[in-house]
Amino acid sequence: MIRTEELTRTFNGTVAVDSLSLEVSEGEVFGFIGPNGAGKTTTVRILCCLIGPTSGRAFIGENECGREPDSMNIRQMVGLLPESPGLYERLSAYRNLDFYGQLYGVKDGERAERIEELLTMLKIWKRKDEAISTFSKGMRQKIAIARALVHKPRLLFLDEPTAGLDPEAARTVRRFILNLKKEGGTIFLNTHNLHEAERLCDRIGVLNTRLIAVGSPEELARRYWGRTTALRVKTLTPRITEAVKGLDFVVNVQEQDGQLLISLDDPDERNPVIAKAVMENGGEIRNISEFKRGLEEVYLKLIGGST
Amino acid sequence: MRFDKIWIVARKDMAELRTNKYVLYTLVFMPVIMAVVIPFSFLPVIYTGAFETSGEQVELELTPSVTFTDQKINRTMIVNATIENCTVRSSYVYSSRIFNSTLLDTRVNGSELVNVSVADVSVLRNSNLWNVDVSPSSTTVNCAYLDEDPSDVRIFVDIVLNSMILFFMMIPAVIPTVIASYSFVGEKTNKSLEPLLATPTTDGELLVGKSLSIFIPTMIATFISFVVFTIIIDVGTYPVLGFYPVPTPVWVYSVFVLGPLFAIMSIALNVYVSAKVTDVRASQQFGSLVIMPLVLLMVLAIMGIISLSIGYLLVFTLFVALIDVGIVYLSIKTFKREEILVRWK
Repeated sequence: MIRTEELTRTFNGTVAVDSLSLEVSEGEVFGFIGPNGAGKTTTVRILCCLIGPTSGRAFIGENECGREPDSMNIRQMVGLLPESPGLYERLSAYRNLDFYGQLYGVKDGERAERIEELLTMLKIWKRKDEAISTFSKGMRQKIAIARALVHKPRLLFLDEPTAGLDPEAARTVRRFILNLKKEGGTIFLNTHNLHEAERLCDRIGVLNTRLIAVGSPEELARRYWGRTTALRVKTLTPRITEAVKGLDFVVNVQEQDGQLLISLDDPDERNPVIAKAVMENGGEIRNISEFKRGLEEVYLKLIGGST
Repeated sequence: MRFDKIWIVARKDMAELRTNKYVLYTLVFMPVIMAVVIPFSFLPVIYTGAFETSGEQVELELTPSVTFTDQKINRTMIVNATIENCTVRSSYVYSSRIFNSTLLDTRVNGSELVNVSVADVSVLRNSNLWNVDVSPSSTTVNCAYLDEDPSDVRIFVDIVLNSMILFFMMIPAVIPTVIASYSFVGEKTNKSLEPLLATPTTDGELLVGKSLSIFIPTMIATFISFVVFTIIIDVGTYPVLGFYPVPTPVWVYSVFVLGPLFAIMSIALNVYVSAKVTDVRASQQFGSLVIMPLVLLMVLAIMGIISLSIGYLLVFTLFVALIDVGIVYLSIKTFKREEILVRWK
């Protein structure tokens, strides 16, 4: 659905996106994470044909970004939620959506149905005739999402969809995105919220001008931390810790909250060996399981390493 | 360029502007000042000037309340009327204005006659006569044959009215600076340009659509103002002048040719300015530069270097059109997706 080849964009000599090569499949929810200024928004703008690349190429389906008439086709098939909702404050929610529906060429009857469907789904239908200026930030964000969906786009770009929202509004938006995911929509999500990315995305790209890593959250954790076994014993003694460290397949041992986090390659094979060593050194095992690293740890490790 | 997309953008912008009280104030107050207040303030000038150019005259208090036009009036007593293009026979006419008519065997008292032919045994008494041909069989008693031809009055009135064109042209020149500042800079500060630019429309369609939403209300306000202005001037001066001084070719040309050109200049200038400023007020300040050509014209007219004749206006139109071409070119270059998202402040 999305393909970029060595995509690069500079602004007055400053590189915003550097040689980005990426593929996103149809029906996939792909997340871009990275610090401010990492090039996430620039990438989305190039993919939405708002700005052109300095070099490299980008494709949405068979259409090449920045080339006419392909750009027009791309704009017709994508929906964009930019960082700011950018709604027309003086117009009603309905009029805002109706305007965009018209611009996207959605026919009259179909447009009315679609707007009602979206506003009902987002629980704003009753306030459809009120001016946007009377809406809360969360409601505005919902309208902006509805705007991006009014023409049933094949591909949806969401740039920081929950930024600045209160937890309840953020949850509503996230649920809505999850529903879109279930319906099989292709979504490209820019976010700073790692928990959100972990929950919503099939694959994640870590961007810091260059694409540092890409994969599912689990793959990334595994790739950059290896697999980790968490071992909890009744009483953790230095003798037990030393015994575990002494095992030749153990990469790293770390004490955390009264348990040992043991990095190793093949926990399924090696965990019984660890258990045996612990017991031989007087340890009484309470729990032994795989410890899953969060995306935050992966992100900090990657971004820390790249800066 | 697809007109349906242009019209969608224009309609949305106009719907938005209808809810903006600052725009509405401008759309109302500007025409009221230029098309109502200023003409009213000029009416006394026209009254006084018209009389001044007419030489010694009989004091008359005329308040015509009835108008006869293109009629044959026979054996009638007429009081307080305006008679135009009529043939009046064997009648009595008091305290009236008579224009472009023929009087036959008629007695006239305390009236004003302009371009009138008097024949048979008629009597004119206590009246002002401009270009009146009195037959030897008729008599005049206490009448003033005024020196000035009514066409001189026309010239004076035209000079006064033409000086108002410069004020009137402020309507199409200034209204767009206010509307455009909200339409372009307002949209920028509201951050609503990005989703708009992401729609399947061309830069040209968006620019023309947004410009049209400014041009249409501006020209509607200008044309309505012209109608109101014409009514005020004509109704206010007809009893004195005996003719309707507007519309004249100079006025019609100014309103229908120069007016749109000024509106286009103002809109295009605002598009260009939008890229450079970050708030509505700054945009309005820069946008008001559009009145500079008008000020130039005003100064040249006041200094007597030029007169506001069609000839000079044609030259001035060419000058304004050239500025328009330059500013429109700049605005087209400025209003591009890439420029807006990357270089606009």
